[in-house]
Amino acid sequence: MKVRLTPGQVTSLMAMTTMPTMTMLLPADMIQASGRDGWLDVVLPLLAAAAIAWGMYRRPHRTIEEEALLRFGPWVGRALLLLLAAAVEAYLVVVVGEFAQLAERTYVFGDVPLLLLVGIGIGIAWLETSLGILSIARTAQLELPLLLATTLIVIGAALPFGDMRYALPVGFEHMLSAKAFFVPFVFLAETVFVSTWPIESPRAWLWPVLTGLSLAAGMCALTAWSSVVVLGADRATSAVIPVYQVARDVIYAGGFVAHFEVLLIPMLTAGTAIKLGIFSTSVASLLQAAVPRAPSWVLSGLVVLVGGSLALHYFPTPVGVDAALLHVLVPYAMPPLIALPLLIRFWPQRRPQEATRRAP
Amino acid sequence: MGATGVARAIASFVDPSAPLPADATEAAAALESALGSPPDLDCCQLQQGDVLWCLLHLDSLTDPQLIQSDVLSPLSQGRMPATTRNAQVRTYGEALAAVLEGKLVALGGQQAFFVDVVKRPTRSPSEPDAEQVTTGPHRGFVENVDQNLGLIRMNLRDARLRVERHTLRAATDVEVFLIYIAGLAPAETVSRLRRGILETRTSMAITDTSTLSEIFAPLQVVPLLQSTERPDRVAGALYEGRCAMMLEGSPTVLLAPTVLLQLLQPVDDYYNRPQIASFRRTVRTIALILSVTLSALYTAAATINCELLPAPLFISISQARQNVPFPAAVEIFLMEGIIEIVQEAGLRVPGSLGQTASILGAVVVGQSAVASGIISAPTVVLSSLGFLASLAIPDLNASIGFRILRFPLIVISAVFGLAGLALGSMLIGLHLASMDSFGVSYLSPLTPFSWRAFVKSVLRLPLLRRSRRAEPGLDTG
Repeated sequence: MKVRLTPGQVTSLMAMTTMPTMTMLLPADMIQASGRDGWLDVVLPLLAAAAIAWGMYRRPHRTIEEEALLRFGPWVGRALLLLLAAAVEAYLVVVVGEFAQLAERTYVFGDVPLLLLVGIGIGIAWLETSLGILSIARTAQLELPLLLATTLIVIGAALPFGDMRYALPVGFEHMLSAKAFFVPFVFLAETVFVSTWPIESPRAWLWPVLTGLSLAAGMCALTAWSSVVVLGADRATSAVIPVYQVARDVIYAGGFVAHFEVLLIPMLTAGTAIKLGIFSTSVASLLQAAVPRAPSWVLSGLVVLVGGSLALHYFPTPVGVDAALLHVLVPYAMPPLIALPLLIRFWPQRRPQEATRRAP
Repeated sequence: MGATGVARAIASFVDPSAPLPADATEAAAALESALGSPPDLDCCQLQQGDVLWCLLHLDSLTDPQLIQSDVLSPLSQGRMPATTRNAQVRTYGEALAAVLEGKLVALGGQQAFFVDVVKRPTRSPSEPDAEQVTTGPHRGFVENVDQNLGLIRMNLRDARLRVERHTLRAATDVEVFLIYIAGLAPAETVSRLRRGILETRTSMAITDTSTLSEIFAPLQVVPLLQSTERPDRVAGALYEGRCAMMLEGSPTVLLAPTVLLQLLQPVDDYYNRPQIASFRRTVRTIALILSVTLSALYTAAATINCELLPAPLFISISQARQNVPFPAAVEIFLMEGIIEIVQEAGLRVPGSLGQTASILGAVVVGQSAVASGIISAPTVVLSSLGFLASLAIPDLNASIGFRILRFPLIVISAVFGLAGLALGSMLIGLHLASMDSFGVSYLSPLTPFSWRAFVKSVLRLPLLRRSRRAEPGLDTG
């Protein structure tokens, strides 16, 4: 069932989809790929993502499921939706991995509590899928200001300890390097899959989606930039989660709270949990369109179970998550994740009579 | 008339849908038999000319003066009772329902009708205990719905005020009064409430609006309908486009739709200076967050995330806890349990004895527990602070609901530390985000976000700067 969201909720969904990854893990990759100018890596992907979002949301009035069935007919349309669902599911696996990675790297856990925590994360994803996109959007709208505020406070509090010699860029050559393109892939994939949300009037989404994207990209660039300025290029390169490192090493809040990272990490954990819910809801929605007769609770349970099992296959080592990202996501999941929505959106529409006759 | 419940109850004695016979004596005898000839049933006969009148009523529910003035006097003078509230009775079911509602049923001369002679126990509208104010009116609702409607009308002299009476099908059918201001209350909200009342079928006995509230929102821990006993609050809410539901015999009125932030706004916010009211609203919001998270935060800090605390504080807590035999999580559970028991004991015993129980529990048990090394002093301080914070929430149901939510939060924080606290808080947020109160998001104006409504919810703006009508369901006055 389609729901009606406000522009603010769409912005929050978009930002919360991309922000946990973009403030936690991507800055490290960007700094490794481009050194002190890593923060610039976000410019090209943002432009590309904005262009794709423009193309996708300026035209259609329908959701991607409706588009697929209308333009390709019931059989091919459903096959495409199943393929897309598989690709988003693969991404879901990596998000579960990210969740585990965050928990492992920021808290000292034994294997059993860590597995339990991931189990709770998966359970939350199932609950979010059951409650639907509206509840997730409302939670995201509550969470986003807190996440933004905490990250900005960390950056703001750390900057006085920074070395401003690293503040200015030295060049743009690295932006065309192969490794720097890793970032655009992640960004683009997370951009296009939002078209799978079962929301009314996707046409009105363009500006909220672009705002959400810009917000996440801005936070990503700011995190990478401040990490280099505060930690120095060498230390920032070795940091797995730079903003966490900044909060841990530089800011001593004193008084009641000793270290500020303890406030940042819960926000990121909750943000990643919302992201899990967003991805699993998307998969469930695609599957529901492809297999309309299947009960929704079965589908959502299936999505989460398969996603969790696959994640556990690569879990709990962070190396496993990285391996999943490099060997599963980039070669197999991302190309269809980017190509299929574009194909569905831009495929020429059949004549009305034919479409009416064949539409399911 | 709530005839269905009565009809079900007497189906084994007479056919409730059967028409009353022409013979008044026969009809009266059948009705008396169906009621089981109770000692308070008065069945008298009055010969007036050629007509023999049989008058049935329950002494325990009727007013003898009204019977004398509205029924006996007119009949003895050869006139029909000229009350505007009389109505024809056609079947046994209607007659029995009327008698059970406290009306007098008159049978005779091929006629049958009832006259409203109900004796309504009343009391003076005193200030409700749970909603006392320092400034402002000190009136509260009573158990009489007519009197309550009068109290609302005294606060709200508006021709657009609409009062609808609907019957809710329960074990004993009850009449629910739906009150709103036409043109201000959204038609959809009114329609949803009306439908909710009319379509409800329950075998529960509904004796108070709290039961009604449970019927509309059975699974939610926090209240989806705001209950109040203050006429001024109801009047303010009606002017904001909200609806009120009232029940005969209950002094509590339900307001819908209700959002979370409205539960943090007592009515005396509007009897204080805007600056004072805004400050107190901020304090209450912080208190709400503390009441849910403080104990869990302490559990996480004392068990897993010790780095959260600065070294001197951590050392101080460790020293205080060194003789305590329990882990921090068990300790805080013990303390929270003691607080809940003391509070429950204080509520169950009357007046001064309740205060004694509270003092005994708080001072003697608390101090003794610390002195004997069962519980550490920091735990007592933080648990008590969390409890006091929950008392700062003006709505009692919300206060208890949020206190319940902190127990699972303590458990998950004890196992996973801050990560657990984050996920637990997110789950609570998700639960609240999934709730709608008659079409309005429970978390509005936070989500969907409305800057104007948000400012008006968090701050109490000066009255001159407030528009005449607030957005429906987003502010309370």
